[in-house]
Parts: sequence; C-alpha cells; structure tokens
Amino acid sequence: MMVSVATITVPAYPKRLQMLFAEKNKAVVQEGITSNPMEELKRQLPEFYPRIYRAISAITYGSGLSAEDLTQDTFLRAFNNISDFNSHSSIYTWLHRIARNITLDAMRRLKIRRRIGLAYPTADSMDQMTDDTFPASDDDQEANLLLRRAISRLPNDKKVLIIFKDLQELTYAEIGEILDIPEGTVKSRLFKARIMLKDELMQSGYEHEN
Amino acid sequence: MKIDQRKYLEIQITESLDGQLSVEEQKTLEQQLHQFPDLLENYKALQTMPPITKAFSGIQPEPTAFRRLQEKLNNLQNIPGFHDLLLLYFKRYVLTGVFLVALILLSLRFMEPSLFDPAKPAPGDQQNAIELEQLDRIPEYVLINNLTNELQFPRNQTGQ
Repeated sequence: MMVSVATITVPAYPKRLQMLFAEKNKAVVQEGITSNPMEELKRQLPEFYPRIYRAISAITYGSGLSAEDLTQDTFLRAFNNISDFNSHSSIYTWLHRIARNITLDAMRRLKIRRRIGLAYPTADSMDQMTDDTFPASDDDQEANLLLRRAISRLPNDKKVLIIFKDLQELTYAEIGEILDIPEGTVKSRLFKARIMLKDELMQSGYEHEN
Repeated sequence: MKIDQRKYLEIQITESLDGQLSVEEQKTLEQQLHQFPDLLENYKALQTMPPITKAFSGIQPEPTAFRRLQEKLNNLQNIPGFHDLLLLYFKRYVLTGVFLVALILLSLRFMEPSLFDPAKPAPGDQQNAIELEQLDRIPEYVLINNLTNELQFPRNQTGQ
C-alpha cells in the first residue's frame, strides 16, 4: 500500500511577477560571496536527487510510504527555504537534514493514522511491494532482504544513523551537524545502533561467516 | 573511570569498523578490549556484518519523477513572496486608493463647508435663519407668537 504524502499545486502568476522574481534571484547571485545556493542546488540536482532518494527509500523501507513523494517534498522544501541555508555547511548535508525531518514526520503521521485506524498496514504486501524496488543484483538476495528488514525494525533514530553513515557515507562531523550532536556522541550512538542491527539480524536467522 | 573507558572503546570500535584506525591503533584496541569481553565479542560480530550498501544497491528513482520535480521547481521559482507582491502592487493600488480618498474628501469639502470650518454656517443653517427673519415680518405670526408667549409665561407671574 503506497501512501501519497503531499500534492502541491502551483498557481500561475503574471509575467510581471515572474520577471520581478527573476530579477531578485539575479540580485542574489551578484551579492553572493562565493556562489548562490539556489544556483548551486539547481546545478547539483541531478547528482543529489538519486542519493537523497536512496536514503529516503532505505529509511522508509517497509513502512508503505512513497519515497518518491518524500524526495520531491525534500527538494521543494529546500528550494522554498533556500534563504535559511547556512553557507558554512554543505548543501548535501542540509538536504539530508531536510530529508530526515520530512521522512520522520511522515512516518510519525502514518503511525498515528494507523493507531486511530485511518491507515491499514499489511506486512506481507508491503514487503513484496518495497522489495520490487530493490532489484536482485547478486546472489546474496536472501541476506540483503534480511538486512533490509532488520534495518526497518530499528528505531528511527538508530536507523537514520546507520543509513547516513553506512549507506550515504557521510562523515561523523556531517552526521553531527544534521542531528545537532557532537562527533563523539555520533560515534557512540552509531556503535549502539550497529549492535542493535546485529541483534536484529541474528534474531531473523542471519548467520555470518565466522 | 571504567564507564569512560567503555565509552572510549565504543568510539574506538566505531572508528575501527569505519577504517579510521591505523594498524597499531587497532592492535591496541584489541588488547584493551580483552578487559571487556562483551565489547570484544560485539566487535568481532560487527566485523562480519554484511555491507548495507549492497542491500540497498540498485535503487534508482523513476526518470519521470525527476522531470516532475524540475517542472514543479520551475513553477515554484515564479511564486513571489509577500515582499515582492507588496512592492509590485503598492504603487498601483495603494496610490490609486490614496488619490481616490483625497478626491472624495475634497469634493465633500466643497459640498459641505461647515464640515471642515465650524465658524462658517452650513447652507441649511443659513436658510433656516432667513426663513425665521421672514416670519417675523408677518403680523399674524408675530401676534400668535406673542399670545403663545403670554399663555406660557403670563406677565403677572414673571413680574413684568
């Protein structure tokens, strides 16, 4: 069951307004010290989009949420709030922060909806559906499935940590910046998250080589 | 002290698993981990964990989704903020409004001068005064008026 998160309709504005807005953007480019974040984001959009989509797909795996919708929401929010972007951090890190907030909010909302009976999860169909989006690229299909399911069972904060570090390959400093915690805390929490993932894997019947 | 050391080792394990420790540092870590058998066991187990990148490999967004986003973004860029709207519409509508209000006030001033100059009687007041003056010239009116006054205030009561 895929749940559509948001549909955004954009009204058409007069040409004069469009020109005014274009002029405003142009002014920002001229004022910018190094480069305009809006232009930077536009330029790197084809590179960032699949990466953010991958992170959101991993976080929402098995939840029934549409990673596609959440990715679009992430970028739309980023473009809408580009003025809030702090040039001291990277756009990639900032996008991860937005993606995390949007995804966890959507998951929280979905949980509430399920609790009050507005949405009905069906574990089997969900697993089948989401697994279709992960093509079997190797012989370890079974192991990968177990791993994905183990990650999906982790608490959201731990899930996000593991995905940001091991899948997105963000640095400790970047993760700390996204979560507003010191690097040492990131490492310590990452250790606990990995232990939890290991336990989940063992419980699901995964056997490692040693 | 032991809690601090444990936390330190947890951090070291994380760094080791992420390939951030040198060979010497790893050896030292393993030696230190013998003091904490549970941590050593976890360390060994974590080293054999399957890579997550493999489990989520091959995820690609739909090509149409990316195009849809670009369309939305193009439209989004044409949405002006409140500041833009204010700047654009201020001259056109607010100035027209101010002009109209001024025009209405001026026309009212010419129509009703007393509204703006209290010392100057209004056209209605002047007309009333003229009418009263004309009535005083009519003998019947004066007679009736005097009689009414007499009835209301007789001379003997007023002492006149």
